[in-house]
Amino acid sequence: MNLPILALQNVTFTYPGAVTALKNLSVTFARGQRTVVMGRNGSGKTSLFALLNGLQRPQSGAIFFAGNRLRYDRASLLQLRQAVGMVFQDPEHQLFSASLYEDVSFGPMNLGLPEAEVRSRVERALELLDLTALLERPVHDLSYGQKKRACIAGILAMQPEVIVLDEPFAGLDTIMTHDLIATLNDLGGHGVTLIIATHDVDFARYWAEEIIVLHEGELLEQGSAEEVFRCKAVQRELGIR
Amino acid sequence: MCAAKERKKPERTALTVRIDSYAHGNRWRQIHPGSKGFLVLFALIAALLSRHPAIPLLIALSMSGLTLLGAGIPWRGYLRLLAVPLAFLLWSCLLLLLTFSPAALPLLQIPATDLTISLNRSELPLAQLVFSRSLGALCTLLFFALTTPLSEIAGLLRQVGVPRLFVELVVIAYRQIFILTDAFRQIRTAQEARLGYRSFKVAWRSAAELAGNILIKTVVRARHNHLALLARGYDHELRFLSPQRHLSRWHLFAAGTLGSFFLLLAWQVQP
Repeated sequence: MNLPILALQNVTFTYPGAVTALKNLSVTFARGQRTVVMGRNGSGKTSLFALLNGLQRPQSGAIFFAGNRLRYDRASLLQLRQAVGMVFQDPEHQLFSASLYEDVSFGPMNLGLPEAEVRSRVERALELLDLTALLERPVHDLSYGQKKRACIAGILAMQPEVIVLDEPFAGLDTIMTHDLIATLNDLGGHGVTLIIATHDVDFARYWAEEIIVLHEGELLEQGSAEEVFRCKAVQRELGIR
Repeated sequence: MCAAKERKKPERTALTVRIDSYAHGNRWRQIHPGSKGFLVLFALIAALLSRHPAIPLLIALSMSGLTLLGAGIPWRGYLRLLAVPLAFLLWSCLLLLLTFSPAALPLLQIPATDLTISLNRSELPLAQLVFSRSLGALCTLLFFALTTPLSEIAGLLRQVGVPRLFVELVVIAYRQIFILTDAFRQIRTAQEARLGYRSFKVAWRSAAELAGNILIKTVVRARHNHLALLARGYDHELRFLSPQRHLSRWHLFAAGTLGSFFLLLAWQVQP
């Protein structure tokens, strides 16, 4: 319980041929906790997420999952990606098949599970996200919010311990946002660790147990909402008056 | 809401999009793709092997009947879909009948040459057969395309052992068609909003920019897609399950009977 589920230690990461995205960053994510990552556009949120899922490798520093340093061979990566599910900002990037069912089954199939288990996971995930009624519709006929839920279902079916969501509320209306938050809370209640990048200060204030604020690839502040938003530098950075 | 409604109305849906919406919303959607595929395979073979032109016409008529009356595809939309390939077909069959030999029925003397375009009567049976075979195959394939969504056809192909790479390409290409048309529409609207098509010359430049933009978007998107697949454990093989459909014995039997009937006719009826 005390061991953080994910931890970065002095991580520096640069995209090939681009500016440094993360500089000597050290942050921890506690198991079962609701963490919000904030910062202006280009502050390194998306890069941080890409590192957590093993999509990118840091040039220096170390990343730990449940105390074990990440390794980047095929088997370890598959294990990591099962444990850390990643929901991308744009659902069009994530949904590869025009069939909802096929798309959701993709993750669990990659885990090498038997067919019956995959089917039951797919059906449970679809039900949990209220997508069962839409099964017969092609993905390109779904609304933006429904596509977003489809992406989350695809991750849930892998039964990850951590779900990382990159700006999940972007493009959603208020009601869809509330529904999504309810779903997330439900998952949190089942012990899933949630990490969300967002610009929504109000949401962060009432939802997050821990807030991480990034500034140009560096850690500006980490702590509870009260502590973080009291900080003058954070207020300036996020434009809070 | 109002804006969204208005946007949808004036758009004349592209043919692919129309096929897709029929495929997802027809009465025979729930029938196992295997039964439909079985019938389609038999009818296709029968239509292409027939030696008497009446048989493929009968197949064309039956398959159209199944599409319109069975699956409930509106006839107006069906005819519109049929019109384009039909025009091609008629034109090519007409060309089959034409010859430059003066022996046949002369139609037109080309000025300042010795050439005469004439109608070759002796080719008529061949033209008839080609036309009816193609029409039979066309209606059969249209039946399949209009009653079965492409992802289910791909699932069927996978089950009968079509190479993995081919099926994966079908699945991804099918999804990307719609993403691409979306991107196309976005850029086009943005250009129109800035009067990008107000004159012929400007329109050409805008079209070129649109094409370039689409290319860039496609490359960027491909990279994102790849990352997203990796994030879910992609390992150079697109593994997924298709939804299970109930395979009705009665449907299979009906498809088999009708298909065998077509084959029997094709085999037995001589010109």
